Amino acid sequence: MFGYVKPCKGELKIKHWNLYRAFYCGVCKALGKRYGQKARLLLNYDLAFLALLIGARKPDYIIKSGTCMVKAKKQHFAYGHAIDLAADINVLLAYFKFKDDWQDEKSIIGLLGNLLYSSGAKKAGRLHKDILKLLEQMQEDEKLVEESNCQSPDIAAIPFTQLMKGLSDYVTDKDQEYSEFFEKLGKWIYLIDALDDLEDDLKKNSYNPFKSQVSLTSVEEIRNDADTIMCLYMQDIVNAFDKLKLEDSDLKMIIENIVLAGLLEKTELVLNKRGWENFGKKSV
Amino acid sequence: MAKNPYEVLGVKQGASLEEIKRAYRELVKQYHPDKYKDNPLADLAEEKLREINEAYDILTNNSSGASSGAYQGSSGALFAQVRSYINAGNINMAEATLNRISNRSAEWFFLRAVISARRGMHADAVHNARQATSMDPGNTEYQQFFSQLNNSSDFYRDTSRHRGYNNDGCCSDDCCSICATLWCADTLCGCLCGDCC
Repeated sequence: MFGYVKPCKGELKIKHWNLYRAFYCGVCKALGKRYGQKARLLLNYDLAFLALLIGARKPDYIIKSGTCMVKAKKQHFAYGHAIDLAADINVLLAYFKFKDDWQDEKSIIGLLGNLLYSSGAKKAGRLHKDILKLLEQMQEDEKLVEESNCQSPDIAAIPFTQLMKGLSDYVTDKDQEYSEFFEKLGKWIYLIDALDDLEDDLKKNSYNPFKSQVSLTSVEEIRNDADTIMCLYMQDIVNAFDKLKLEDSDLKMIIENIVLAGLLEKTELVLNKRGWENFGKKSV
Repeated sequence: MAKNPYEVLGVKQGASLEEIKRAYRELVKQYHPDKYKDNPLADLAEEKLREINEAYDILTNNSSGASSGAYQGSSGALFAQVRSYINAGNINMAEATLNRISNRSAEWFFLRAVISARRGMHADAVHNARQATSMDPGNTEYQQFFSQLNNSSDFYRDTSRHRGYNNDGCCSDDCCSICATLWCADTLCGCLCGDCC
């Protein structure tokens, strides 16, 4: 469920790309400072986006130049409450994902992640008890969805969208418009992740809310339907975005790029990948 | 849902009555409606509970699967009722009435799609609309609704283009590498001859 929300680089102004990088790298620095160097491995685009969203609403961040240890070069980093909060949430989300992977699939990475980041997650959990509760509720609800083999993608998305709404309420102090935006974005993230995983889930006989479609229709039809569905949700996201009161105009442009181009680019990437030829009415 | 009742209750094939009762009690506790009062997954939990009760009835040889409210004969009248609820904007009643109909015909899926669309549940709307059109291909009402859904999805790409974002495959890796190469060449030029071109 990570790494889907990023800008369409080709459509961004260079100054905005640099600003985006400053936030992305800022979260990396914050992860290292707050949770140790090993936490920097957890960095992903979605949490950089979260930092952007929080920063766009209340621009109390600063940009400073510094050195990137990994790339050994000078660049700019964003510092501030938005970035620190994104780092904390990053650790919690990643830890829960590792725990899930270990419990469900007995994956080694899951086990390693569990061990490496449990102390970090405890610290982040103490700082943000409400988010910890949201994550635990989501885990419980997702169990119900999987155990009943829910084949309604909209209902299956509910636990994750509830998490997103809760996150929004937490970071924006219950701003209604932000809640709507987070909810629609959460729907998109859950569905694109399910579509991306469909091929693997069929092979491993794991839960996926789109599985039933495979025996009902052809690959072409599944893909067309998926495109329709994702476009309808992306329009919802645009509508919700237009209602947001964003004070920082530069960050607003980056978010607009993501909403109007980045998400589309990712959707087309997922729906056009090679794996789609491997399943359909005839196979399985 | 013709599921294996043993699987549903999580007991082995030759389980004793005591084991079945114990498993049943545990599951009822887990999916009890009180636990899901403020949870949007309440409907899902309710369906799971129905499944559990059915399985328990089968294994303890109680009622012979008397379905609740399956008014087969009057499903036509019920469909009409669902439509009038939808037209009146009472989506909750429309859904409740539709759920009482066990005849899962093309019309059932079509009305399910309409209700889902009204609730903004696009995935369910699209899937159910397709199901309705495939069960009754000649029906123009279902076809029109399905086409409408597909057309409204074009709206997003138009919005994106309208607001200045090029989405005709410009955002592909090839394009990015071309852009990057051009940018590099230009920068190099700038470094060498002072950016005067």
